[in-house]
Amino acid sequence: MAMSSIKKISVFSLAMISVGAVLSVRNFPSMAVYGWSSIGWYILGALLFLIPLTLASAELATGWSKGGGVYQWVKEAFGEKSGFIAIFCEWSNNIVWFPTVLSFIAGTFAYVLNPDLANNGFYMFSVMMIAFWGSTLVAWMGPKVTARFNNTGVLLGSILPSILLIVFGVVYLAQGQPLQIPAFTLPQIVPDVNLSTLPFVATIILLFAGMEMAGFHALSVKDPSRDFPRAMLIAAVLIVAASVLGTLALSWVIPVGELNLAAGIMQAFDAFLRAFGLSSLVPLVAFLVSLGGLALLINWLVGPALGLGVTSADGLMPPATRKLNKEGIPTGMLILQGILATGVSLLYVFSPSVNQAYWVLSALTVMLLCIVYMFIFAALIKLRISQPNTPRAFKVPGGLLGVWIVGGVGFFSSVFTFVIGCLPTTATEIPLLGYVSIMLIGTALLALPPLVFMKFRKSSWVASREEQKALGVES
Amino acid sequence: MSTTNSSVSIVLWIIGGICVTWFVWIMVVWSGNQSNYNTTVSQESVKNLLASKGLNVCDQNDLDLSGTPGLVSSKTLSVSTSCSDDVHPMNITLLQFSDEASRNAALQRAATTHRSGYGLHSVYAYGPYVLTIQGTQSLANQALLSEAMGNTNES
Repeated sequence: MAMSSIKKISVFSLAMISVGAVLSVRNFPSMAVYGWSSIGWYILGALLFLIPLTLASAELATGWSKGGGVYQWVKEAFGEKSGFIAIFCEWSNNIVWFPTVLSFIAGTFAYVLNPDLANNGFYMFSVMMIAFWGSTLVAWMGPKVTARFNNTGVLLGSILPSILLIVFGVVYLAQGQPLQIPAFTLPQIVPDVNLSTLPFVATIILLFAGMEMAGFHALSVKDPSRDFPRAMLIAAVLIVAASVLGTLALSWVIPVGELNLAAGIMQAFDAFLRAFGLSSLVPLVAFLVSLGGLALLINWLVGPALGLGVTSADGLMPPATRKLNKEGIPTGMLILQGILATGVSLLYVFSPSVNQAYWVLSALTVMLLCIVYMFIFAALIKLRISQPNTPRAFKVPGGLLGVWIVGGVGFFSSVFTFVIGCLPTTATEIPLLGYVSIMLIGTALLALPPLVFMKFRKSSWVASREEQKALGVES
Repeated sequence: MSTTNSSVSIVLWIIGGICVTWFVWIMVVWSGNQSNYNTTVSQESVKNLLASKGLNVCDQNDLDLSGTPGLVSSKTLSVSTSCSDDVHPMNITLLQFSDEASRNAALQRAATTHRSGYGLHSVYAYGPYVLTIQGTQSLANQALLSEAMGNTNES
């Protein structure tokens, strides 16, 4: 099935892919704890990561829009081995991360039926699997159906709840009710960055992970060079505005002590709605937030699988992995990740307690993601130097200096987050050196299977010119 | 030729299987000693545990966290090594749950809110209690809390 013949998506849909992959109201309550300084924290995250990643993705996607997203960009800069490692890291970190987002969806959806269900393993696992395999089925149906599903999920599940929070927050202010945080003064916006809050910078950076997701769909818009930068601008503005205002609205209405991560985000929404005498809306809000979770899931489920499917066109993986359905979706990759994610979810839900292993694995996913971002920012700089004349509809402003600043800041942020990821975040009985070793060895195990594939690769794995044309990645 | 391809594919899938097995192994090994839910732990024993590391409870307030499944009680403890006006205390939220499943669900909620929780919060389990600290807190106090909770073998 020729990629070029698959249905196209709009600029709005492309923007919604990035919004869906990044924006989630589940981040708001924990950020609201920081009151006015949450503005500064968000700005810091935007400066250190969101803006650099948005600019880098826009330049790379408009210069190299053949499909494959991260894989294609890194391959052009550093060769196919690096490209393969980068896309494999993006894909493999998801396998461990899926139970996290699935458990969030299931736990939130419990508030539609009965909140106590969230404590029942069988309920949790059932809903997690319905959400995962249902999303896989939607992805199977192709980009047009996925985009429609994603648009609905983002609008109803991320943007509408954000708007509701903001509107209610403004009403709260207009009614002259007492703010639950001190009155606004400009210095309060400044985040308190010191040794104790330094690790938090890493969390802020990761709040914006996923902006590159639209790059996997560069071929799905009519004119990538024109449409991609527009979509990224729309997405970035929406994400920052909704995050800052939604978070502030929560902090105005709910006392800091009642914004507790262990109590959960629906408890925070419950408290928020109770302040307006609207507790009966909790199930509806829970349903909407669950939809937002599904939009988040489907973007991380489809993008990296698409990118990994493209690697097989270069003969990096066995031919079976480049089998596409009539909608241009790598079905083998979807099934494989589904089986792996099901296995990890099973262990996650039915292990006797929240186990240290999952915390460790969860930290590993962050490190893998950092590797992806290091590659992206390094590719931005390398390609501007090595291929200055390759046409790019969008260029990072400021010439080579601008690229060094944008790429440098993004690269440094990724390295910083990687280093923080090596250190234990909560009480653990594992000695520091042992923990760091586990992190590094685990990262290597999850990042380096591409080298094994390349070791065993056969010349017969390389797609024929006709097959490459059909995959839309011909040279 | 196709036989060779199949053999290589099998080898690759076996290697993939080894990686998955590694995942499973690490999870099973560490999850084995986690279910030590102790129902005899009381609020007083939590305070005593904190005091053993010099973290005295200077003030405490009830919290309204209604809507949280399985929640029995919720309090904020302001703790400090010195309960004087010029020392900024650390706020610990103490949530008591009715059963192990509810407590574990609370731990999972804290673990899965963000892709990473670096510096965002620390969460500990002790008997039916979940202790959390959020926001900006003193590093020294955090270290003392971590040390205290490490002694419970249930963090």
